[in-house]
Amino acid sequence: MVDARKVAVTAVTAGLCLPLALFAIILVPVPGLPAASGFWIPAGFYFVMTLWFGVWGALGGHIATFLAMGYFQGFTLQVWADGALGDLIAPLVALIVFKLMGAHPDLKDRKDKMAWLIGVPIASLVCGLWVHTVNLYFGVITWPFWWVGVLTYFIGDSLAVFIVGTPLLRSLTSYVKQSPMYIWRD
Amino acid sequence: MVSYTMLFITSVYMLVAAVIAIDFLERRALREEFDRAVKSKSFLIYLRVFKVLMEAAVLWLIIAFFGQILMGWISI
Repeated sequence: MVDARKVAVTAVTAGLCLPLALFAIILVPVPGLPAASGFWIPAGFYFVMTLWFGVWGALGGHIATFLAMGYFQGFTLQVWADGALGDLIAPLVALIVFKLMGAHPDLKDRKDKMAWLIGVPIASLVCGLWVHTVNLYFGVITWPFWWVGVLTYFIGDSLAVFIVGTPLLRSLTSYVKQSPMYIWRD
Repeated sequence: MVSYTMLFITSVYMLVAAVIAIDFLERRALREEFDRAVKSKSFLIYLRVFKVLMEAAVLWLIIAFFGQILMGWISI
């Protein structure tokens, strides 16, 4: 059921990630690769929101990427949709890893930290494979760029999520835990 | 010579960063009071979490601005 709080989580995530997606790509671009980033800062935020609030956070990241890519580079709809779907999939993969390992996003015990260290690279890799394989089959990139794209995505997203997301999870999860929207219960 | 635009933007960014730093110190000082207030007004949790996230986003935008100048993406 959709209620105001869920809409607020999606809206805040999208609102936070949109300017970051538009203006906060520090490293890159990779010539020949549309929408590739070596340090995708918004990922740090929508991963965190997804680990706290579930699919509503991921949806915010998805909306932000879709809007940012459309404005920024004049890409075709396929590239917007592809990248935005990738950014919907990635945090959900990390969420699934946390669920499978029985970990929690406060990163307090060893299991939580392992889930974070394993889940983020897996999520980034899955997402990179999705985005650039779709790009390849739509003829947006060629084979020689496929692995460069996947590698860029893997490193760029993982690095940003670790650097941006870790302090947010460590410092804010104790507050978020008190919210009824928090999806983890001990 | 630093351009006027650069000086202006840097001044605004420094003030914003200072406000965020002061807010951080205030949060630490008022932690117990906040925990008490949350018991009767649960929406304060959302306000705090969203505010801190936005402050972090602003700091990253500031870092990105100077990062992009260093990378040669933009110039002032």
